Amino acid sequence: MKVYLVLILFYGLIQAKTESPSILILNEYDSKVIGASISNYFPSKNFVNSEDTSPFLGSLDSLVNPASGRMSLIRKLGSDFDVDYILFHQIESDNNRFLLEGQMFNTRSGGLIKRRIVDVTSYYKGKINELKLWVGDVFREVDKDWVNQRKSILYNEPSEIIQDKTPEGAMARSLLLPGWGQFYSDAYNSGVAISSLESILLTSVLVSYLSYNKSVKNFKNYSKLYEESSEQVEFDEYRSLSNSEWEKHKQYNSALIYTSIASGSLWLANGIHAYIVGPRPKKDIIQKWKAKVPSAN
Amino acid sequence: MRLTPIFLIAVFFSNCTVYDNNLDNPNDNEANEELGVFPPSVVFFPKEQTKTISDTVSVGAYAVFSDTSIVPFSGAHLNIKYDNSLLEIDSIAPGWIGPGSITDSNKTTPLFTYVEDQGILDIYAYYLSISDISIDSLTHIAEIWFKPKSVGSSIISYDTSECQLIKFDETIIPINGTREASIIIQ
Repeated sequence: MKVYLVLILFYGLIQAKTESPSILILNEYDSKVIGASISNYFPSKNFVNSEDTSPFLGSLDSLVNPASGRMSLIRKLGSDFDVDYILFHQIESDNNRFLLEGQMFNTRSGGLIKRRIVDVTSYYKGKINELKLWVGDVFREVDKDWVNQRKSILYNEPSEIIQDKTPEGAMARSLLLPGWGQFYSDAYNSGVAISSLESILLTSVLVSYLSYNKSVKNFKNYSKLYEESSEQVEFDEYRSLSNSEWEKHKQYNSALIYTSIASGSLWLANGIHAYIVGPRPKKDIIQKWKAKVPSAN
Repeated sequence: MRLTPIFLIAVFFSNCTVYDNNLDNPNDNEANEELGVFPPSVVFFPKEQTKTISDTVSVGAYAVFSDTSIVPFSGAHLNIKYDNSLLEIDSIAPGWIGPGSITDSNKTTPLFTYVEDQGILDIYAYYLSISDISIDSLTHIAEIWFKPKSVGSSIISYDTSECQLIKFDETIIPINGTREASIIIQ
C-alpha cells in the first residue's frame, strides 16, 4: 500500500514538473506590430490570447497598491481562462520613439509579480524585439540575437569607437602650428589666445634677430673703419658708433634669447594643452529625455 | 615635427654670439691705455699689414698724447728698428700736412732729417711754425715707405732709450710707451 502511495506521489510530481504553465496574453498596441505573435518565439509555452484589454487600460500607478490593486480581476480571469499567469502588454509610439509596458500577474494570488517600462528609440523590428526581450526575461529564455539587435540603438563601447579626432592628433597639430590643435578640438577661445600670443612672441623673436644681425653688421663695419682711421676725429667718431652698436647687439641678443625661451616654452605648453583639451570619447552619456509613463486611456 | 621648437631655439642660440669689443687703434690713446701703453707714446700706424713682395709698405710714425694730459712738444728724435734682411727703406717723408701735424698745414717747412744704417732708422723732426712754438695732440711725425726684399714677417719697433720728445726749451718729455708694427710679406 505504501509503495503505491509513493509511486502515485512521484507520478504527480513528474506530471507537475513537465506541465507547462498556461499564460493569457493581452496586447494593447496603438499601431500594428509586425510579427507580434509572441507564441512563435516561445513554442514550449502554453499561450492563450484574448482581445479584451479594457480592464487593464487604467494606470497601474493610480492604484493605492499597484501590486495588489487588480487581484480580484486577475483571479477571475485566471478562473475564466484557466491560466496560471496573465501577461499584459501596451505599446505607444511617438515619432521616432516607442514606449512598451509589460505587466505579469499570477492568477493564483492575483498579484503583480513583474513589470517593465521601456522607452527607446525606434529601431528595425524594435517593438517585437522588445516584446521578445520582455517575455524572454520573464521566462529566462532570452536569445542573444535579440540582445544584439537592441544594441543597434546603443552607443558603441568607447574602446571600440574609432575616433576621427584624437588628443594625439591635436597635440601634433599644435606642435606644428601653435593653436591649430585647439581649433581642431573646437577650443576656439584658447586657440585664438595661444596663436595670437605665439605670433606676438615669434614676431618679437624675428625683430630681435634682425636687429641683432643689423647691429653686428654695423659693429663690425664701424670697428673696421675705426681701425683703419689714423685721424683723431675719425676714429673718435667710429669708436663711439662701434661702442653704441656693440651695446645694441648685446641688448638684442638678450631680447632674442628671452623671447625665444618664452616662445619655445609657450610652443611646448601649447602642445601639452592641445593634448589635454583634445577630443576624447564621451563616457558620461546621459539620457536627456524623460521616461514617459503610459497614459490612462 | 615635435622637435620644431627645440630646433628653432637651437638655431637662434647658435647664431647669437656676443662679440668681444676689442677696439684697437694705435693712434687712439684710449685703446692704448687699455693695453697698458700710456701717453705720451710713440706708435706706428697701421699696427699690422700683409703685403706681397711687389707692394710698397707704408708705415706712419706718430706721437700720441692724452686728451686730458696735454704735453706740448716742439721736436722729436725717433730711433726705429726693422729687419733689413726683409725690408729696405724706399723713401721717408714728414708727417701728414694739416693742423696738428709737424708741417703745420704746409705753412712751414719743418726741419726734418733722417739717418739709416743697417736696420736702424733715426728721424729728427722739429716744429717750425711761425705762430706756435709747440704742438700737443696726436701728431704724425713721419711716413716711411719700405720695399720688401724677401718673403717673411718683420717687426718694426722703437728703441725708447734712443727716442726723445723735446719741448721748445729743449727739456725732454719722457716717453711712457711704444707700440710696434707687424709686417708680413707673402
